[in-house]
Amino acid sequence: MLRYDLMKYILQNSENSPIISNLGPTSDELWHLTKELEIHPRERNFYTYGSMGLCSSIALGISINTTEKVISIDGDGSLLMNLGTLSTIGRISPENLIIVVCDNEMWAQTGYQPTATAFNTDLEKVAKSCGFKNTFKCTNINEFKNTFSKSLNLNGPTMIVAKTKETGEFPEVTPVEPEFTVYRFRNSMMNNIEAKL
Amino acid sequence: MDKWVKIIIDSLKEHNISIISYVPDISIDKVTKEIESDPYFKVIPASREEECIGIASGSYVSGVNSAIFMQSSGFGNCINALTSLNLPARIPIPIFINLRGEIGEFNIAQVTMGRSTKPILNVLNIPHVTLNNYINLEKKVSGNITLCYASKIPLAICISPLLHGGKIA
Repeated sequence: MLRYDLMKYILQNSENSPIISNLGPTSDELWHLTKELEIHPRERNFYTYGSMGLCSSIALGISINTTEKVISIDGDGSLLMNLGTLSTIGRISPENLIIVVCDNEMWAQTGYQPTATAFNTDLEKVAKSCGFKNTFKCTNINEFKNTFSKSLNLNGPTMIVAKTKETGEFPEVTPVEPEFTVYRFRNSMMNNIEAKL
Repeated sequence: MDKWVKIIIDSLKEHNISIISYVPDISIDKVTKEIESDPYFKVIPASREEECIGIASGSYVSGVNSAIFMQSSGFGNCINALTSLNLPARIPIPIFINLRGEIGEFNIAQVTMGRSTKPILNVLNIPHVTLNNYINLEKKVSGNITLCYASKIPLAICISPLLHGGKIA
């Protein structure tokens, strides 16, 4: 299963939900997908550029202020850097939070070095033991599509560990200024609570 | 409630800061205890201070102001998040830091990070103020939170044992 295909399905099926993407290829591919699907600029995309490990923490901070589904597209390398956030999410238990981990079992962009999920760490089990209401593991795209669609109607927090492969190619870096991402995203979220900038 | 605690809580409310994330500290506990019992606030205790930066940033970008409480050792855990998220993306967060390594410090392990906190803030060009007495205390807290949101960068409000009496060992 490719991260690109998985994210395409998420974009096609999550309406206007906030989507927070992990740094690097995840954010880059997400931006390219908005072009391909002709939904650019998708204001509810929050691309991250650094702060490795914080993708799902940012999603938690968003989820507590909205009743909309909030989708974090995290990575195994990033999440392993901040596993404590799964404990915090399990404690706060936001019903509307869905974390999709693109688990390629490696730090791909830095040279395909294997992460701990290539050995003994099972992120689905970690999430379950932290108190996530629903946890899933998917190994192919059809399984992912079914699981993600089902998750949109479940009370979370929900963890979907998607085992992904690398193609060996990385897209061009997202040409969006972080400041502009924040401005656009925040404005869109605040319009929803009738507090326009 | 100590007067300095009330000043901080009133300033948070004045700036519509209702989401608070923290990693505990015995001196700042005087504030976070009050916050936890006040229904105005939603409190998220985090596993690590860097996580607080993510949570507070997420809250801000979804339209709700958020502040963080930690001790100076935890500030050391936040530096990459501040430099790669809040500074480039311009996400303001008032960060309350209990300064260790000040007068009365008894733990050698707290000294270096405590005493390095303000120099690091200077290098990062993150504005900061230290609360060590009651002179203009309300203005220092409230005015700096105003500055934080106006400048759209994080701002540190450091709290000295001269104000709160230090750690109860």
